[in-house]
Amino acid sequence: MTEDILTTLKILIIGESGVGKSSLLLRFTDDTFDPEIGATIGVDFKVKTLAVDGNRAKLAIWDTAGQERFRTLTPSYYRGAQGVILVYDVTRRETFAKLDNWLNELDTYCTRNDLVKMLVGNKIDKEDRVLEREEGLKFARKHSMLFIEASAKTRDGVQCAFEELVEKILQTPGLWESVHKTRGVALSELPETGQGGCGAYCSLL
Amino acid sequence: MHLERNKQRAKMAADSDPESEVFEITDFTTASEWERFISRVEEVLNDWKLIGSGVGKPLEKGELTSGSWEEHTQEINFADFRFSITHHCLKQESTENESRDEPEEDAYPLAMQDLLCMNNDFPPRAHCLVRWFGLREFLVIAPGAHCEAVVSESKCNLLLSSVSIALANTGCQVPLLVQIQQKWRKVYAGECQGPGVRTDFEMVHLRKAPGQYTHLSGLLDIFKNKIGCPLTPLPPISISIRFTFVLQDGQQCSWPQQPPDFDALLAGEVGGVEFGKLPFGACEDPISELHLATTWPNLTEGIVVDNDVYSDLDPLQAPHWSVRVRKADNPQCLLGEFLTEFFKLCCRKETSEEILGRNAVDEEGKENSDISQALSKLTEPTAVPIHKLSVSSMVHSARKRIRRNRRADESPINNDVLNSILLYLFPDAALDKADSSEVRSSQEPARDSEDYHLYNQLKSAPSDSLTSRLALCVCVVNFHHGGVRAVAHLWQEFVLEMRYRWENNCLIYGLAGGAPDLRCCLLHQKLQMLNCCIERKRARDDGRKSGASDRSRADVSPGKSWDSWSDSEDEFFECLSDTEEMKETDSEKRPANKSKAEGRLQPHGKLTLLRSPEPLYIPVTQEPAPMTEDLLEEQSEVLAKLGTSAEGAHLRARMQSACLLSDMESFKAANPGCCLEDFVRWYSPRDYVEEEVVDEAGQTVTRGELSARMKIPGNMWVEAWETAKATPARRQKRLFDDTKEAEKVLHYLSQQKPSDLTQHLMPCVLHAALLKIKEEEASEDIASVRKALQQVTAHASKLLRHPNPDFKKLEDIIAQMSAVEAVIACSRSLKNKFGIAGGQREDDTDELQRFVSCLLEEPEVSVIGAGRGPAGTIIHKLFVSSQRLVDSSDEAALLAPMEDEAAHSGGTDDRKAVPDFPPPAGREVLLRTCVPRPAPYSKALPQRLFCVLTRDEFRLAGAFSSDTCFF
Repeated sequence: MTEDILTTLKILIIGESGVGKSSLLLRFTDDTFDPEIGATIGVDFKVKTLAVDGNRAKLAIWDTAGQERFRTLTPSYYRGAQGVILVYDVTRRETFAKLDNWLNELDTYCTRNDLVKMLVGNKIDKEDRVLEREEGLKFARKHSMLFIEASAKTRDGVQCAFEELVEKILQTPGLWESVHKTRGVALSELPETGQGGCGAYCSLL
Repeated sequence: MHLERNKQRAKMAADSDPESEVFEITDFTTASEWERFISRVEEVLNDWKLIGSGVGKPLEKGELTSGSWEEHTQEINFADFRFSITHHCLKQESTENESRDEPEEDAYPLAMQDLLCMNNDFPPRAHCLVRWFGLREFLVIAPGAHCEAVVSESKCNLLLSSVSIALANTGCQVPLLVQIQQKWRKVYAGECQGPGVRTDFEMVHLRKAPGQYTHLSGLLDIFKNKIGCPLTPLPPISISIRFTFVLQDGQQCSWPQQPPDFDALLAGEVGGVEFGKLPFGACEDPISELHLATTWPNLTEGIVVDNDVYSDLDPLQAPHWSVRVRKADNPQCLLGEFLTEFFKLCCRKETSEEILGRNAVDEEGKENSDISQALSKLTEPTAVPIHKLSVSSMVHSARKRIRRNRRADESPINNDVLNSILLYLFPDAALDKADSSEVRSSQEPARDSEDYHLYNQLKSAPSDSLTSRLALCVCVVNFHHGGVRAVAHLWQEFVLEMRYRWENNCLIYGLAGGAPDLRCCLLHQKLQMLNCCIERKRARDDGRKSGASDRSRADVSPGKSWDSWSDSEDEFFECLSDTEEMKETDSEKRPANKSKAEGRLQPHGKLTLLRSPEPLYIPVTQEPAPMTEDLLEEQSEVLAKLGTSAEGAHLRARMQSACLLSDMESFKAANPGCCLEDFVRWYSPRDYVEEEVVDEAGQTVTRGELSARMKIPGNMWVEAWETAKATPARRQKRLFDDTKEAEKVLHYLSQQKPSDLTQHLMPCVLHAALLKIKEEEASEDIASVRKALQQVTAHASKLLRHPNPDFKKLEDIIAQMSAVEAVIACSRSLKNKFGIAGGQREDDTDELQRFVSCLLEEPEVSVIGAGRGPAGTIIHKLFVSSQRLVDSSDEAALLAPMEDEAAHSGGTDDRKAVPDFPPPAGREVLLRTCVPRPAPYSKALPQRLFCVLTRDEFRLAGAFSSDTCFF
């Protein structure tokens, strides 16, 4: 089954309630849009295989509930994630204002500090946009994240967002491991200190 | 082409074509192995672009050592005999853009110029050929690995002639040498060719120096003889001499650090404190030898006399001194040994039972064998009179229980030691009557502190946590108190204590509160989990008690009305009887204000219920279940296994709705007469959409409704709301079964073998070791150590975050740490020797400090001011005192049988003076000149002879150039 799959990646989607996390995921996995998708309870989970640069990666995507009360529950699932998509709603400033809280939570609960973070401004199809692209861009730059604006409804940017994220993860050394590799990490990176080679290097005594 | 046998056959075009008059055939069919070998060598020279004359600047001082060298190797066969050809080349940036074949007529090959260069005599570290001939670039043909050496003279000559032919054919000016004789003898011969010139590299290697050649004058004779110069007077010969003296240490200055005496430490009252510290340092002097090289860099014949009867070469007067240190091969370093011994535990397969014997664990075994029984026993609400039990008495009674099973003399760890260990692990036991919640001092370290980063990186535990302390104890116990048996014993005691604390509602000291910290190691999480369970259980028991006392008190809090406390709440804790359920549903139908509200926490702002004027209350809710990473892993696997279908998603949501349902029930209980909209306004305010509309009366009113997604028929929220009964949190079924979870943890702990324990604790031990090294390094300030520490930390971090770290790599990390420890120990030894440790003489301290740190980082350090500088003076003294020591011990040995006679002589001081220095362990003499060879009318060309005399080697390495045009 995993024959030509390079690796399995764990991706998280987080953000305030109602910003369209589940819709983004549904658009990406099933290419559909349902305006009346139920509010997520706890965490939900979807799988999709994605080919990036000729490498096929299996994505296990964990979609989380945005409600305050669920926040005691969901962070446990942050563990081991290699990528995270932080979503806000371009028509609601308060969802943008809460981004700092979300990043804090990530820092607290994530087990690896080198995970790749992506900021997605969702619902750009709507006419009552209050957040300009510039603001998102600025925030992303400040926190070294990837940034893209998207619309789950019109499918703008959705595929691209996931592809970018996966590509970045695959480019980050040490963040993922090939499924074919046996458990173990890369060989020692400590440089050899000796002169090596000839064996005839010597001093007098 | 040299090996073509060109047979020209002129074939006349007999009949017509005049253009094809000469027809040439080149025939290689009969080429010999030898010819083929030569052509292969040429091929390699061409491939590596070594043809033509090289251009290079004169070598800088010390460049042959400080620069970096490049090596290429290729295999090459002579028939079926394998050789390897290797190109060694000093990387010089300036030459890279200059091409090799700059047409500079008559320039000698670089190698020939380098023969006379004075800037790199006696390089501290270099290939032996570089040392002997001063070469910056050369090629070596050596027998391949596992091939026998080229010993016979005819084979050597065959090889040498191949070299000669290949060089001549290609015009390569890089010296090409062949390794002959056994490998260890390092005997080479070869040549270098230039336009009209040639240098032959030759070597003599003997075990013992012939008597007449053990001094300068004898060596000069050889050199002169060899160059056979017909000119008189002979052009001057330049002489460089280096004598190396070895100071074997350890015999004179006593090594300051003694191995710590752990038994003594433990005997005292404060002994337990010492368990928190890892040992550090070397038990013996890590510097085994000090080599002093005294150099006379540029003498001419006649300035010095050195023959078999007299020598001018007094090391103290040598113009240049340099020193190198030889570190002990495997110095016994305490921290490294500790870590290594600890690591070895990982490979033990035995269970505690097998190690300690069946009886010892019998009781525990029984307890664990039937968890269900334990469960039922523990779930009974037994009121434990906590206040009467002091913690220390608990520890003691737990201990007694163990002792019953094992006679004191059978225990691997003796009682005193065990007591101090337990006291160190559980200091709260010493504080009588203390409320353990107050002594739980262990706070999470500040986020930017070094420790925080380290435990996060290594996935260990905060350094003052119980887990860390346990790790250190296991380490000590393993090393000093009986190895794996002691470890098993300690672990057993530890698990018993954990059970005791659980059973007696006594929080475990030294763990940060709250849910398990997933950044820490699993064992730490398990202990935190156990603490969560104890905390919950305590809260429940306290709740029961305060409930009882509330009833006796008259004051009524606004949230918890007097009425809200049911008289018989204990019976209703777990679940509701059917009749109660009926009542609840009834009450919901009744007007809101009449039913009693339960479990209110606080009003939610100024919000009121939609269908009544009552304020909307936030209920007291159940805390979600704490989880350790293995539980979490299990649960996410279960959730993931449900698949991605709609049904799967639905099931998943349902599985996770317990918390939602519980909150809804609490909400209903706190807000009689509420509706889903009210709940949503608190729980997910975004899903209650408010609009301002103008009603019939022309007034604007805000009207609200559930969001579209909440209105989907049959969605989980509505479904849950409908099934939710008004039940306050404390009467609901517990979301977190502390009893079950605690038993699971205790069972898990008791199942861990010593090797498992070691693996659990490895990150904590490495963490402590890193901190220890850092602490020790702080007083030494060694740049290379700081760098190595960073590397080790990064390396360890990468490895330990992995679920099953590779043992081999763990061992590497431990080896790296030991190496760092050894460097620090060396630094201390050197500082001690050079008197910096005390710091009295202020003028020289800086210079000596620099000198010592150079000794650590560089292969060889020159002594400023030679024998007269501050460092030189100390070295001189070291040699003098070492000489006296040797001398007196020799004398003592000699005089021992005739002690009386010695006494008669009355200790007069007429014995001959002891020289300050021992005889040199090595003497190197480098002779150079430029004379015409072989005939007086030939060009004057560089000649060089390098002589090495040590105790068991006599080597002459000569490079003699001759004119190939005029001879």
